[in-house]
Amino acid sequence: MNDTNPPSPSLRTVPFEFRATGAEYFRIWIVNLLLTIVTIGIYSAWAKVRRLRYFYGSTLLDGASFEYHGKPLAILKGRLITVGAYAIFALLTQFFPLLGLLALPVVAFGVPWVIAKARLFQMRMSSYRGLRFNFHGRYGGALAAYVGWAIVAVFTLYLAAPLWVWKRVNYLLGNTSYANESFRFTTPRGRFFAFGYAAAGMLLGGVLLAGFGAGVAGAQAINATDPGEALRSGAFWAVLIPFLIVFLLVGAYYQRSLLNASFGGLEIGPHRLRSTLRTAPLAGLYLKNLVLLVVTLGVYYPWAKVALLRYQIENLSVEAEGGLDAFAASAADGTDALAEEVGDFFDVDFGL
Amino acid sequence: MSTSGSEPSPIVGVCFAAGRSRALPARLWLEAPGVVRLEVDGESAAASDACQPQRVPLVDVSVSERIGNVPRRFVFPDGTQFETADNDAVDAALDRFGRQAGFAHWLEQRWPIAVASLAAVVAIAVLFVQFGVPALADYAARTLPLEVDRRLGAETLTLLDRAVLKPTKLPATRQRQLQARFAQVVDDADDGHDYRLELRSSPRLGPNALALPSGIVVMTDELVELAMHDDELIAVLAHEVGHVQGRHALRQILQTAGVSAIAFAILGDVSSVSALATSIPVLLQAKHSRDFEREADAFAKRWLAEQGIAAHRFDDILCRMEAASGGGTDDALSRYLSTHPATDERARCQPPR
Repeated sequence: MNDTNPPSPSLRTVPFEFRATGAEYFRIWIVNLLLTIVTIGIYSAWAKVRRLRYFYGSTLLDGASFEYHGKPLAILKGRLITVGAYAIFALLTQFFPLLGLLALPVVAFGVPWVIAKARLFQMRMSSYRGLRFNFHGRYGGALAAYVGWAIVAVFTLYLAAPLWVWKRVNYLLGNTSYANESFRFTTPRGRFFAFGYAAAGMLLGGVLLAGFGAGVAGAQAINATDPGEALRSGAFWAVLIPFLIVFLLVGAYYQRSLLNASFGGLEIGPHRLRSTLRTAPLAGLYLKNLVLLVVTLGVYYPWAKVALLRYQIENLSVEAEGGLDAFAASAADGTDALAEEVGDFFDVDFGL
Repeated sequence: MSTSGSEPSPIVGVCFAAGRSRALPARLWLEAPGVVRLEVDGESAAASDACQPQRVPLVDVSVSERIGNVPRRFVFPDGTQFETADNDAVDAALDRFGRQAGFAHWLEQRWPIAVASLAAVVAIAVLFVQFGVPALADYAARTLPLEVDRRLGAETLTLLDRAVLKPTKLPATRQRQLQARFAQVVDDADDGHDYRLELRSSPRLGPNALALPSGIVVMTDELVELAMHDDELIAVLAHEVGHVQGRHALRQILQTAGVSAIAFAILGDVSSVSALATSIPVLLQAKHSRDFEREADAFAKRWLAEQGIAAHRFDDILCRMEAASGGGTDDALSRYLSTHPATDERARCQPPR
């Protein structure tokens, strides 16, 4: 049972590749949208599967693509149950208003459960080279990461907020596995504190600066009570634009720091992920997307989505020790039936 | 293993053994009478975790449905997978055995269908915002109890009193007169609202009247002074009662929420867009607000007609209010952003005498 392939001692960088195009996704998106509207939302489950299959399949690493395995009917069933449960709760609170008091505990204890299940579903429905991802996070972990540490963050006047973010990322990524190997999340907490505080400082400084600029320009706008007049005078824009720039820049800085620190700290087997997003190009992309979306009244959306995903995915790479050939399915991989039973209801999308 | 020169060219890709990540170059043929043949190349083909060549009936092989130009996957009964980016070759081969591409893909690859879909989506969205959302909000408002209206307006008067309103300076007899006329308007509007007229002076607002959802109507001394006939004031009060009776404040809130939800559902998940999507309802809000003004105008004119009060009374006071506020701008943009219809559309103004 000898492996004829000698282990390669060389470290090579394998970039992720994203082959989706805006034009192709536009056609998928608009057909999805129309069919969803015409079927009063029922097609949305099929639309979701086609969208994810398109984006997963367009993502390649070392010549092989990712695959999404979610089943539309199961997703539809889950959505109907979710909507039904919400409707019943809303109806009950009409007759028993005191039940409304339960909303907060239901959300606080229910959301972490949904997150854990949704992540499990998302990962088990994802594969690469025919091997599935998996998730081992438990309910208790989600409750601590999402609610427990949120409470800590609030009681420390948000000084501990970066720790809360780290806990969430650690929960989501550190509990993920691919085939027979677990991911290890290695980014130190300090890095989250560094960029979290930096972003907060930039936001505060930027808003003060923009507020000062806007105050000067806005003084002229006060007399213009008619919105049309304010638009024409330019004062409206002079107030808006400095804030827009600050939010774009700080937003881009925070987002690229978060993604770099999250994915860049992942290790699996002898391999390591790297994420090399930069603030200026990301802010430029945000701005370009925003302007074109306004100009096209939203029709640019598929191109915007693809451009953003492309920038994020193509800045991701694996520093591979040897090839990516040595993974084997884990013993627990034969449990697809179970995965579909528990996971299908929880197809909630959520980011980091 | 190749037999004759007429053999069709293979589909080129990579293959993986069941549960293994080792990729090996492979070639695949679809042969008569419906058999899939897999050949494995590469120097590692003999490795223990390498995929194995095989011949299997097509019906036993699952082939992933085409979407865009995403790589296709053949899964063999033993779990071996074959992945290829050559979509057209796969489609051509499947077509020879009577397997058509999926309907969704058929729709998605055609530009004319995409453009037609876009037109249809835009048309549906416009119609829905124009008619569907107001109708739904109207229906929802009907099912909500009046108690909601009462709560909406409860704190508003206190806030207005603190910010822009001052106590009225009208003499007590005049106040009683106006209250009596207001009672006359409200008498017919027996709809469960607790109507109340609040007289205030307000240099900031100038000649104006406003209705709170709870049924409180505020009228400024400035408006009373501007009027040349009490029927004019009655006309304005009837307009305000029209707002309350039509539950316009509640419907406005419901419509804004409805449009926000739609905008977010369609454009919500590109982070920079979310903020933009939430501003769409603000623009539409102004349009809906003008529709409410027209509805209240119609209510006032109907009521005046029933009472035998000349319809020009309403036009007269509106025109005078317009003149007092210095006249409006008249280009298309400010018309669209304005919360009230242009006065020349609502009333026929006589040239000043």
